Amino acid sequence: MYIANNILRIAAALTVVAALAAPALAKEKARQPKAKSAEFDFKKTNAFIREMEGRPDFPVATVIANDYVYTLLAMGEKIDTGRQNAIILAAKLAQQKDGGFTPDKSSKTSSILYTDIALETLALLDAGNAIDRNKVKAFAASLKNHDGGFGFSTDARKSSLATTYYALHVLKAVNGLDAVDRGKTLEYVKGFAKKEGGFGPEKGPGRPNARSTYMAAYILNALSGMDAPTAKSALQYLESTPYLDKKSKERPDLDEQLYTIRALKEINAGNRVDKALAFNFMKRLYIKVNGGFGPLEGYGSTPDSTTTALRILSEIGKVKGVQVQVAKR
Amino acid sequence: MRLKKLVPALALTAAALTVVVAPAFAGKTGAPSSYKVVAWNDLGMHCACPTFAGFLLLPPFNTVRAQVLGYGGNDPVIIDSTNAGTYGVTVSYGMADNTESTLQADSYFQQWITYSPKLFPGFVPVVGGKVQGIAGNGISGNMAYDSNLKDWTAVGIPAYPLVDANSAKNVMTDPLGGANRNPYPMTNVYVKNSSGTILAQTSTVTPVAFGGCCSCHLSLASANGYPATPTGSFAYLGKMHGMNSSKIDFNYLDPTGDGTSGPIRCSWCHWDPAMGESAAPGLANVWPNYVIMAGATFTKADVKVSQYSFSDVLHRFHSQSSKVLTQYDANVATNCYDCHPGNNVNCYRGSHKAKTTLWCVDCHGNLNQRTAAGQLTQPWKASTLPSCTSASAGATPAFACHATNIVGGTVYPTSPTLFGKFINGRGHKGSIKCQTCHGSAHAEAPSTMTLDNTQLSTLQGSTSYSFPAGKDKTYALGVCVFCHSGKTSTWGVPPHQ
Repeated sequence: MYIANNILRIAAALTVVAALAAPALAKEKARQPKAKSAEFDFKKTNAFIREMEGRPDFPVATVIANDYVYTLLAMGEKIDTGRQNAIILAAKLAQQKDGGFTPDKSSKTSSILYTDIALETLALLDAGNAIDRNKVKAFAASLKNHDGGFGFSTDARKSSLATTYYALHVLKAVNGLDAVDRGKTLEYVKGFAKKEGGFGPEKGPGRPNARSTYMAAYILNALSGMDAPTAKSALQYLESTPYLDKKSKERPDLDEQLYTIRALKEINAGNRVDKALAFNFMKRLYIKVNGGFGPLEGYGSTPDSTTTALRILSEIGKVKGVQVQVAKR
Repeated sequence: MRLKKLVPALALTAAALTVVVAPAFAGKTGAPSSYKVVAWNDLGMHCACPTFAGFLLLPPFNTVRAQVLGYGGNDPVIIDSTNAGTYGVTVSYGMADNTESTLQADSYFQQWITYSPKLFPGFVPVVGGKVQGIAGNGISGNMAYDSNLKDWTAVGIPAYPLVDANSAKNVMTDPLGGANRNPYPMTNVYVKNSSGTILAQTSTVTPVAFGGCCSCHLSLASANGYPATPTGSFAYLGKMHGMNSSKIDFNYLDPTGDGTSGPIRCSWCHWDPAMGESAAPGLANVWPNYVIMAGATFTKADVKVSQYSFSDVLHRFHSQSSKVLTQYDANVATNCYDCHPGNNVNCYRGSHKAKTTLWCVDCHGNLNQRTAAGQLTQPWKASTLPSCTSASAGATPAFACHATNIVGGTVYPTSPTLFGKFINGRGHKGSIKCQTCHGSAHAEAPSTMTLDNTQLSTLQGSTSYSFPAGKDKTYALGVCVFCHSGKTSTWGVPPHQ
C-alpha cells in the first residue's frame, strides 16, 4: 500500500511537470534556416555540441545545458521535444527552495550565477514560466547588501560587480527591479570605474576590462543611470582594446571579444563594433577537426568556448538561428 | 656464526627460486633466447611550468615504467632484477627528443636550472654537464626494478616540452606567447646484454605540457594593477594569499636570506606527495635562516605548515571562489582543461574518449564532488583513483563502469586482483601490468593520438597477426602468440587473471 501510494505520487508529479512544460515543448525552435558559412563547417560544430546527447545524464549541468541550447539554436538547429523536456525538467530540479538554481544536481547551494544561466536556457526554450519566478525574485533580492551590491549566494554574501550584474540581470528578467535600491546600487557600480575609461572587476587599482565594462553599463542602463561622460569614457577604453584597435599588441581573448561587442551596444555605440575584426578572430579560434572553437588562439575547443563563439557570431550577424537573448557569463 | 645463518637462507632462496622460476622455464636451459619490452608513462600527461622564478607548482618529473619479458619456450618469464642479473641484461632508457643541449639551451628550462637549488635545497640540476631530475635520473640512464610494483622504472626524468625541429610536432601553444612546443617527447627503452648489445627496445610517449594557469592569471594580474606577466601574476597571487586566513603574502618571503623574494615551493607548507614527500616539511626546516622582508604584515609565527594539502587548497579554491566562477568560468568544476593541459594538448586522449562521451568527471568526480568526498585531502593516493569497475568515491558517473565483468561481450571472473586500480594494477597471470597491454593511463589503447599507438602498432605489427573486424594492431596487446609461441596469432582478449 505504501509503495503503491508512492508510485502514484511520483506519477502525479511527473504528469504535473509534463503539463507545465508542454507549452514550451510544443514550440520547436527552427524559425530560421540553418546557419551556413563558408568559413565554418557548422555541421561539424553541430555534431561537436551534440556529443553530449550521448550522455545518459543529459543535460548534465546547468551550464552545459545552456551551451547545448544556445549553440544549437544559434545555428538554426532543432532540439527535439524529448531533450527540451529533459532540459526543462533538469532546470526545475535545479531550482531550490530559496528560489535560486544550482550548478548541477549534486549541489544544493543555489547562487545568482547559475540562476541567471538557467533563466536564459528556459527563455531560449520559451519555458520561462516552467519555474517559480516569484521565488527567483525573492532569491535575488535576498542577496542585496548594504553597500548597494549583491552577493553570490547566501554563503558567499560579499558584493562584487559581477554578482551585482547577475542579480540585476535576473531581477530584470523576472520583473523584479523594484527590489533594487537604485541610488545605492548606482553608487556601488560607479566605484568600479577606471581612470583609463571603462570599468574593472575590482575597485581601486587595476585595469578595466570589457567584461566589467559591459556589466557596469548594463546595470547603469537597467537603472536608468547611464550618462554621456560614462559612455564616452567606456568607449575610449574599448577603442584601446584589440577588438577595435588593430594595432594593439594585446592578445585577444574570446570572452573579452564578446563583452566588447555587448559593451558597445550598451553604450549605444553598436555601430563601432568591428565585425570584420571579430569575424577574423573567430576564424583563428575555429578548430577544423571538430568544428568547435577554442578560448584562445592555439587552444583546443570546448563546449563553453564554442558557445561563446556562437554568441559572438550571433552578435555580428553571422548566424541567424536565434535572436540574442540575454547576456550570461 | 654468520655462515650458519647464511646456509639456511641460501637454501630457502634456492627453494623459492625453484618454485617460482622452474615452471616458467620448464624445459628451458640457460638464458632466454630473446626479449621483449613494453613501456609507458605512468600518467597521461605531466604538467610543467614555463617559469620557476616565483614559485613552483610541479618540477619536471615524468616517470617511465616498463615490463620486460624473456622468451625461450611457450611461456615467457618476467625479467626482474634477480634474473636480469643472472642473464646479464640491463634495462635502460634514453629520451629521444629532449637532449642535453636543447634542454640546457632552453630559456624556460634554464630557469629550472637556476632556481631549482633554491626550491629543493641540496639538489643539483646539472651534474657533470648532464641534466638530472629531482629523483636523480637524467634524460638517459638505467632503469631500476621496483619489486613492489614489479616493473622497471625511471622515476622523475626531467622531460620538458620542447621547440621541435620538426615544426609539425609543435602543437602546444605557449601561454606566454613564445614558440609553439612539442608536448609529446618520446623516450626509448632498451634491454641490453653485458656487452651493450640491444636485445629489445621500444618507445613510449613521455607527455609533458604547460597547463592553462597563465591564460587566466595574466589577465587577473592585469585587472588588479599588476603587469600581465608571470612576475606580475606571482605578485598578485602572493597578495591574494595574504588576504586569506594564513595572512602570508609570499612575496615577502626570502627563503635563502639573500635579500630577494622567492622562489618558493608551495609544498613547503601545503603537503604535496607529487614532490615525493609524505608531509609538508615547513619552511623553517627547509631554510632555517629564511627572512621575512620589510613591509610584511605577518610574522614567523604565522609561517606554519598548513593542515590542507596543496591539491586541496588549489582545487577547492578554484571551484568555490565566486570570483573564479563569475569572472572566469562558471563551469570550472567540470572544465579540467582550464588548468590541466588543454592548450591544443590532450591530457585525456585514450580509448574512453574515442568510444564514448565519457568525461574526466565521470571517473574522478567534478571538483565539488571530489571536495565533498575528501579525495583532495589524500591527493595522488591510489585510494582516490577510479578503477575499471568503479569511479572514485563521490563521483556519479553517467556511464556504467566495467562492473558487470563483461568486456566486449566476454565475461571475466571478478576478483580483487582483476580490474583493480589501473595504474600499477596487474592482471594477466597475476604478473602483467594493466598498462603493459593497455598503455598509459588517459592514453589507453587505442589512443586518439597516433603517436601513442606507435608502440602497440609496432609490437603487433607482424603481418602474420590477424585482427577481427573492428580491431587492429593499435588495440591493447592481445595477440597470444606475441608472448606464447604455441598459441594463436589472432587478436583476442586474454584472460585478465
